[in-house]
Amino acid sequence: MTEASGFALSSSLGLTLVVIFGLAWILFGWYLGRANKTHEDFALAGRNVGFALASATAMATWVTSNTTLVAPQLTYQFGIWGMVGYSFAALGLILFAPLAARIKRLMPNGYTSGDFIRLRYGQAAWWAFIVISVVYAFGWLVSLGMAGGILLEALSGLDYHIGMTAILIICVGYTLFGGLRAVIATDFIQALIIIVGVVLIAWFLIDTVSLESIHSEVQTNHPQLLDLLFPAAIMFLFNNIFFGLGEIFHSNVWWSRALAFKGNVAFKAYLLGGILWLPIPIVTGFIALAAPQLGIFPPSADMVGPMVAAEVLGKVGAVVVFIVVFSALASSLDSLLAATSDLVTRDIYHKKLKPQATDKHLLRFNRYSILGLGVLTWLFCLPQIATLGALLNFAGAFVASTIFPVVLGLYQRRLSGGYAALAMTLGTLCGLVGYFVIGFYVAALVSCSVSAAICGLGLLLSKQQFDWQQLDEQEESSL
Amino acid sequence: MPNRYGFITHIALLFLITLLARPVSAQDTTTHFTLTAPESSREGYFVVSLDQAPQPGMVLQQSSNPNFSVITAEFVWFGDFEKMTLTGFSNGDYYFRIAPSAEVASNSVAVKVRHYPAWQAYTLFFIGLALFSLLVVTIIVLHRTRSRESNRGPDD
Repeated sequence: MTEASGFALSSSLGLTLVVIFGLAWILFGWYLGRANKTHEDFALAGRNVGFALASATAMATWVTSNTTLVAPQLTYQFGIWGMVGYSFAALGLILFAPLAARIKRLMPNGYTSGDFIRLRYGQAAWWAFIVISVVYAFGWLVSLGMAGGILLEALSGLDYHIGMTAILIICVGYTLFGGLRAVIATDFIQALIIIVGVVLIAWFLIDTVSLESIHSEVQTNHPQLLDLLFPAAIMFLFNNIFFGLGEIFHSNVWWSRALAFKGNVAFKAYLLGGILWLPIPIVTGFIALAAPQLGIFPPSADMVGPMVAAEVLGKVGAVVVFIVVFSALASSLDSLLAATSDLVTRDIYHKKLKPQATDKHLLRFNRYSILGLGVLTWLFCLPQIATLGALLNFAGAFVASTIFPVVLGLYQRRLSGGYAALAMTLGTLCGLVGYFVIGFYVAALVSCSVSAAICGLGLLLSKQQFDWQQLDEQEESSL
Repeated sequence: MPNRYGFITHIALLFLITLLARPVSAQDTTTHFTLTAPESSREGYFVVSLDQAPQPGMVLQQSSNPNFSVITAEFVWFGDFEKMTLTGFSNGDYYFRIAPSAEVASNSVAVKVRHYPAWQAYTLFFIGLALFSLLVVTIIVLHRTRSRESNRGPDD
C-alpha cells in the first residue's frame, strides 16, 4: 500500500523509523547494562532508584498501548464516558502509593509479588496467583506486540506482522542487555517524549478541526457518544477502574519498582505518577471524537487514534504519532518483559526448581527467560485474534480477583491462605462467566465483587494471626 | 471442387464467433460487493465488512428504511481496508449498502441497535461504586492504623 491509498507514511519511511529507533534503544540498553554486576542489579536496579526516575517510570509504564490506542478506541465506542472512565485508571497508581510504601517496609529484601503471596498465604494461593499473573502477563505482552503491528499498519500500511516483529525484537534486545536499569532509564526518556508528543497532537487537532465542528458532527450523526446515560458505558466505568486496580495491585511490574525505589520514594513516586497520568487518556481519547468529522471510520476501533492524528497532521504528524506511540509501547513492553522474567526466574526457577542456584546462574537464566518470553509472545501475536480492548478486558476477569487478597494481605493479619486462594480462584471463574454471558464490561467488576465477599467471610471466620516478620525473607544463595 | 468439409467448418466457426460477439455497452463492468454486518448491537457500535478490497472513493450509505428512500448518512471507505467500524448509534433499525453506480453495487444489510436496559446499567454502576468506596476506605483506614502502630514501635 502507498500514500495514494490514504496512509500518512510510506511503508519504507515507517520501516526506517523502526530501524533507527530500534538501534538507538538497543545501544542505550547495552550502555546502561554495563553497570549490572549481580542478579539484584539486573532485576531491581540495585534497589537505588531516586524520585525523578521513579515518578517517570511509574507514569511511563502506565502509558501503554492501552492509553495511546485503547483510550481512543473506547472513546470511539463509548464516547465521553469511554474517555473519562479510562482516565480513572490513574486511581490504580494513586491507590497503590500507600501499598508500595507498605511493601517496601515489610519486604526490604523481597524480589517479586509472587514472593509476597507465597510467604503471606502459602502454596495454594501462590499457585492461583501465578496462574493469574501468567495469563495477565501474556495478555498484556500479546496486546503490546499486536499494538506495534496495528500502529505501523494504520500509519504506513506496512504488514501487521512486520511491525509486531520489529517492536518485539527491539524491546527484547535492550531489556536483555540492560535489565531493569535500562527499562527505567528508557522509561524516563519515553515519558518526556510521550508528554510533549501528546500535547502537540491535541494542540494541532484543536487548531485544525475546531471543537464546535467536532461537537456538531458527533451530536448529529453519532449522538450516543455524547450521552452521559449511555448504558454500556455506565457498565464499563467501574469495571475499568477495577481492571486497572487489579493490574497494578497484583503485577510484578509495579511490585518490582516499589522494591527498586530507594528509601521512602515509593509513596510519592506512585502518587505523582498517577496524577501526571490522569489527563493523558483524556487527550488521547479526545482525538477519537474528531474521527467522524474527518470522515475516518477505521477498520478496527483500536486504529482510530493514529489514523486521526496522521490525517490531521500529515506526514510530520504521523511521524510524531509514531514516535509517541512507539515510545509508549516500548516503555510498557520492556517493563513487562523484565518483571515477568523476574517472576519466572525467582518464583519458579529459583524457589521451585534450583534453590541452590548461584547469583551468576540466576542472572543468566533471567536473560534466557526474557528471550523465551519474547519468542512466545511473538508466536501468540501471529494470529491477530481480537481487538486490543477485548483482549485486555478478558484479563480483567483474572486480575480483579487479586485486589482484596493483596490489600488485606498487606494490612490484615487475620485473612488466611485458604480464603485468599478461594477468593482469587472463584473470583476469576465468576468474572469469566460474566465476560462470556454479559460482556467484557462486567468481567472485572464481577470478579472483584466475588473475591471481596470471600475475603470478607475469611476475615470473619479465620482465627489466624500472621507474623509480619515472615515476609522479610533472607537470601540463602551465594555469589 | 472446394473441400466441402473445410467450407462447413469455416462457416460453423464464423457462426460461433457471431454468437460470442456482444456490443461493448452490454458488457457487465459493475463490481458486485457482498456486505456483511452483525444483525444486532447492544452497544451502538459494529463492524461492516466487504468480501473484497474496496475501490477508491467508494461510499457506504445508511438509511432508516430498507428501500433507501432517504439516505441519512454516507461514509467514505478508508484506504484498502475491507472493514469499517461505525459507532454512536441510538436505538433503532439501520440499513446499509454501497452507494450504487455504474462501477459498484452491493447487497444491503440491516443492523438492529438495542442498548442495554437502564436498570441493568445502574445496578452494575451502583455495585461498582459501593465496592470501590469500600476498597478506598479499607486502604485509608488500614494504612493509617498500621502507620500509627509502626511509629509507636514494632509493627503490631
